[in-house]
Amino acid sequence: MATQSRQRRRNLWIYAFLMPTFILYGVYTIYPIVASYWYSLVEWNGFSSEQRFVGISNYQAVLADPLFWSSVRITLLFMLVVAPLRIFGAFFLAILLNSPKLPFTKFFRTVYFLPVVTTTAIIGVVMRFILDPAAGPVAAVVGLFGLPPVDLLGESGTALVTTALVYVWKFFGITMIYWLAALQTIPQDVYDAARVDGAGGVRIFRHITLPMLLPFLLIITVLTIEDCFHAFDLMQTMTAGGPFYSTEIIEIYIYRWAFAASIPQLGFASAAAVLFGVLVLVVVALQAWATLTSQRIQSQRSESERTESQIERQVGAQIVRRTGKGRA
Amino acid sequence: MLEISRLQISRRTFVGGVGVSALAGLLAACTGPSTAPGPGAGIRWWDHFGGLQEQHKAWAAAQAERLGVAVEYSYNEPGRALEALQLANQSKQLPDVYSNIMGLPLPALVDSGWVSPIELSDEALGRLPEGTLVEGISMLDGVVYGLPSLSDRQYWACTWYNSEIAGSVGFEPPRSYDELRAALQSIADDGQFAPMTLALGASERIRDQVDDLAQAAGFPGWQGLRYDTGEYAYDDDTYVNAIELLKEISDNGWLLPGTNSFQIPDARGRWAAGNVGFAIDGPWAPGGVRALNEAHLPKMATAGELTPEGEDLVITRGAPAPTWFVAGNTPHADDVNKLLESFTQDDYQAVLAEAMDQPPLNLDTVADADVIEPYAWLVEDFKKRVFRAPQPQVRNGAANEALALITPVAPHLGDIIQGYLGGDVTDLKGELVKLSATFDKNLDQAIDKASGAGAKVSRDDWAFSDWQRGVDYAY
Amino acid sequence: MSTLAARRGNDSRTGDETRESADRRPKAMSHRPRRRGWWLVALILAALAFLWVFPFLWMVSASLKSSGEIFQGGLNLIPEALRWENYGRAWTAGQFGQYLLNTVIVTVVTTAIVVVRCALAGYVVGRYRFPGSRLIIGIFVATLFVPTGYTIIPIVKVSLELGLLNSLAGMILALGGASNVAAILIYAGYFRRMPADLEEAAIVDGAGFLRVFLRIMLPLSTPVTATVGILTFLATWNAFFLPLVFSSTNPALRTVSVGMQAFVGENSTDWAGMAAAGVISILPVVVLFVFMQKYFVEGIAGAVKA
Repeated sequence: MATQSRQRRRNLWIYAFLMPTFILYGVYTIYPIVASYWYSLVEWNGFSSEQRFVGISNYQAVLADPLFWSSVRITLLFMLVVAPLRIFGAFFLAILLNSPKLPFTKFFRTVYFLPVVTTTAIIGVVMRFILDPAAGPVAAVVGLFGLPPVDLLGESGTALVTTALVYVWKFFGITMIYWLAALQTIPQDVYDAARVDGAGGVRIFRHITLPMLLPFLLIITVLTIEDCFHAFDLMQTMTAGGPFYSTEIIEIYIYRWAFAASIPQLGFASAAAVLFGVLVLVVVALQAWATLTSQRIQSQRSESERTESQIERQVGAQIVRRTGKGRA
Repeated sequence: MLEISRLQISRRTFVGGVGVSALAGLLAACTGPSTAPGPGAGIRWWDHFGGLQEQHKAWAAAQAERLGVAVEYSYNEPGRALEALQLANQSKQLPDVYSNIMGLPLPALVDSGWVSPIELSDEALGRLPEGTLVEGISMLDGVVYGLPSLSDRQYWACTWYNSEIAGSVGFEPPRSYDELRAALQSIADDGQFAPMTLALGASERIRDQVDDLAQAAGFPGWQGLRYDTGEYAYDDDTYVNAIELLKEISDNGWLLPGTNSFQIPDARGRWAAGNVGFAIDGPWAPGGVRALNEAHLPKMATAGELTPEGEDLVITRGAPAPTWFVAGNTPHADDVNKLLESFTQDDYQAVLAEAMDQPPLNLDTVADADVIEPYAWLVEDFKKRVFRAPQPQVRNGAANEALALITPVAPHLGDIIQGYLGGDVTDLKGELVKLSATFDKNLDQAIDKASGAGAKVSRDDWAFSDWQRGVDYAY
Repeated sequence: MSTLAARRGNDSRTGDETRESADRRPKAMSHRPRRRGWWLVALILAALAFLWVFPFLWMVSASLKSSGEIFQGGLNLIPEALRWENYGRAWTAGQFGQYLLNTVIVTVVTTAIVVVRCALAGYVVGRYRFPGSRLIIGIFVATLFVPTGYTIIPIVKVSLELGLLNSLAGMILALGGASNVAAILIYAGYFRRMPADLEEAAIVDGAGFLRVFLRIMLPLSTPVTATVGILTFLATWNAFFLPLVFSSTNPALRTVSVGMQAFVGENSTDWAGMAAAGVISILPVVVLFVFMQKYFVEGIAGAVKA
């Protein structure tokens, strides 16, 4: 009985701890998600209180709209440009910055991280000036080479790539820090041991650094890809989806129907949002899978390391074996 | 899981509500001084007339003093004004007085609580020009819901040019497509200036301008809809020719770099900076230019609106649309009515005239006002060339029921033009045929829905076989 | 274990060859502190770094020029004369003083709310099994990511019903209540890994649930608090969509990101004023970053380590 009442007291405390999250999360996240499912089934223009139940016809209309599919394609395309550049570009930079031989690493780290802390909506505006084909500095550089002015944001052929590159620049620092953190999980004595054993920089990189970073690649990839779905602020301030829908990612598509149409179509917009949610859910599932996989790899490795070091204490031999395995 | 029963959820939701309110109270206490007055403190007045900002600020202050209640005036850029109003309405915070930018028929606005009746004194009513308030447009069953302050007699695609550049390059004010081509060519040849700019990034504005150009070229209707047959015909040659003209201008490199993504103030601002020859803009351009770069005003000149061969311009417009609405939930109905009455006064009309934004309801006030000569010329031109159009909702009030149900079309004409100029749309004619078909379909669906709900409306209400170009339509 | 053994066997078979090939190479280890190659790398990185911060340099330079000077274009970063009045215009006419104050209030309070509620929730979720715990974790994971704009319509509705729309308090609660699942999960993961004897000892000493949390667990979780605090701080300072909606009817509630958008719409040709407004908005967070760099870096690194 005593344990039971202690248990109950404990549970009371637990629920008390959860209360702020229950309340805020419930009101501002869970309820809205549920509500938007309901909205997606009604026809509602937002200004009349009248909501007419229309079943799945909003979904049919969204799926039949070529501009919806175009926005899906653009969202994915945006991700395909941004994610590899961020992941591998930042990886390369982090490798360099992680080297004890490179001077001014702290300064570089600060500089490359700087855009991350700045306000996206403001960057979007400033970038419009910088890319202005008449008076911006980019135009001036183009002019130096005697080339005709380029309107990077005004041409549908270049607008998406341009916004993607700005996005890469803006959030590059985060991925760089991720990689630096990952690199620092490799204990220094592993490197030392490899050097004692005579391995050169390239070999160390290929046979120690790379394999040890592999599990992080999964996590960082997923984190970065997920990040690519948050491009609304930058897109809205830089191009607002134009020219001719060429940068209209799904978030802007939803926004356009919900708030910017002459007669808002909240049901239609909600249906598009739910479909977007499904797309994202796929990515989340992927994340769960990737995290689990990487955890498994990590735990397997730490297990094997422990066993190995117990059996033979010669670190050098261990590293050599590792390098051998990497090559085999 | 199973432990969470339905009852608990509802209790939790309740607790949630209470909890959030309590937290909010706490927060409000912490953030107190910076929480600005919300609705209720005074009259809030919003509009989207860039050229009237200063004048309206002053007018608001003067009226606040007269009425003894705070009048808080805010301006929203046209591109954002609609979003701001929609958010405000969805959150039941509509400003007490706001300008008409919704593009919804009056009954829909009334039904959904966007607007409330306006009660004007007989004196104020007497000041309005004959035919200002029209059943189905600003009145329903004799009750006034919207107050027009601006004239319906205007056209929107005015050819503005920089007279200084005209002098130095040497071109004549263009009246026809060819004359415009020649003028742009001469600026390009001269090489010192950019020939032209447009608000190409604002696709709604381009749509309006091309609608106007097509009508000027002889399209027997407006916004794609033929008055005579009641059918959509965006693929009419008048549209195609007007768009091809813009395409040619764009392909020749005559547009200021960056024009593709210019919003309305961008285009006007660059033109007003003085290095661009032409800009197509509304009659309200001088007001906008004054706010952006007053030094440019004396260089402004206009050739009216283009017609393909320079023929006489004929423009057709409906009854005066409401300029001002009063929010459905305003707590200041009396004071708001008095504020609106002040808009009918001659001194307010004079303020409008001098602001050189959209022309005032009473066009005659412009002649005596201190305005630049091109503006006065335009207003005189409006008097001669703008005629009254037929409107289905005026002939049959039930047409409004259908109009309220029309689903918006995307991409619309402006988007297609943007895409065609940028190379994303190649088959212009095909897109325009498709656009007409979509509009026809959406209108038919709306009519079906409305008649399904009991409204006596049919597609015939859109056809005015007795309409004649260049004559005021009488029902 | 058997696969592990097999692999190990495999490893040792190839081991000797590798050692041989390694031995044949000259010992190329350099104990000179820095080689010329690295200075070259540094030089390249420095050039890239200049490009990287160029937008900010340009913004600062533009904020001190006249609009006409900016319109002439060119790459010259040095203004003809320093026009500080641009800042005055952004501060008073653009109301960026007010916007900055709003942003600070919203950011600080939101960060505090998020840290507190995520620490509490993360602690119990990470450390205890209780009725409903699996369901709660399931819900968290399912809502880990909610796209922008997805939930805005109901959020507006619910805020309206609670009388919170059109107020900073409402904006703060919406920001603080929006999806912060990642933060909870980071806390949960951290608390889960703490050794059990920590709290057992305290319980033996007679400490209650709250005491254990406040005296033992919370102080130990400082690194996570730094992570969550800094990530929330950045996200809130930079937030655009929710503040846009919550301040749409009352300009006095705008944050800097929304204010910038409005400033562009109303003064489209005043590039100098806009650049000054941008500097005003960005400077505080940049200064904060430079002085607290360590925490920023560790905070973000914490997201991937956890």
